[in-house]
Amino acid sequence: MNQPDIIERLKNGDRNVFSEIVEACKDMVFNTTLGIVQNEEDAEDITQEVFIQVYESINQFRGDAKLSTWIYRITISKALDFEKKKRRQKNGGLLKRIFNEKSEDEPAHFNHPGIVLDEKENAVVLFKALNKLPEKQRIAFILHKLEAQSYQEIAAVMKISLMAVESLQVRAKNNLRNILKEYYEQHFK
Amino acid sequence: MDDHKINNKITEVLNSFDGVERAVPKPFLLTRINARLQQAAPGNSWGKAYAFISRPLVAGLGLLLFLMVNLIIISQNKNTAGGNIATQNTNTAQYEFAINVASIYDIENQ
Repeated sequence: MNQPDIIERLKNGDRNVFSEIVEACKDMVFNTTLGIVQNEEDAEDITQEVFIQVYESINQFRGDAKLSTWIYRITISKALDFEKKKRRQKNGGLLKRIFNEKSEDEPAHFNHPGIVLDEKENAVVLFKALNKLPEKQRIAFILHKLEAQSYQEIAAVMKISLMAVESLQVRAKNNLRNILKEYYEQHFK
Repeated sequence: MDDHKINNKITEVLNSFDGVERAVPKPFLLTRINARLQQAAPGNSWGKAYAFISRPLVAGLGLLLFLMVNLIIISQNKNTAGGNIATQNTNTAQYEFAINVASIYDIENQ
């Protein structure tokens, strides 16, 4: 079955095709979300929401990109929205506002289940550093490193040029280097 | 830790995602998605009603309303019950002591 057929059947509310799409894309959606929100329960919830949106807004899909690219876009947008909402909730607590308490916004240690055992400790530090990157750099880095997406696919997902993706990757690595340098200098010097 | 060691450590950390495997969601994801879709379906009025009732604010207000109605009924019952007893007592007293009768014949005719 080719993409136009799949889209057509999905637009007609074919639940079997929808089930096939969920089965085929669930790992990619969950893994991307997990890389962004760094919490397995939240990632599960967002994954469900992504597929519900895929089902409900398939009529808005114009077919000018691959279905997987469109699903990646929904995933990233949902995960980032969730993050912003969570940050607002953290910063907007009544007590915090009353006492003008500054929130640390320090995320808990996150252990990605797919990281090789020997690298778990280093990956925890890298995930923490990732949170300090600008949004676009972080997304480009996650898609490339965690999802093993090519620069071309990343360009399609983020709707930017190939050159822009390369630039984002270079800046992400440089910024991560600086963040990590600061971290290790503070903790180990 | 000197600069050389720090640089090596940073390179190590930056490469820690190498060989990463995709994380997978818990089983029965499709079942959970289908359940949520079913709940959100426009034709499912029971699901909608359930979702509306189970909102904390609606549930709380419902409970409050239930308690208030109960309190009102109980207090009304109390008043009515008190009135009955008073009337009964008056009637009994009237009968007992023949307050409103003129003669013994009236009692017999009652």
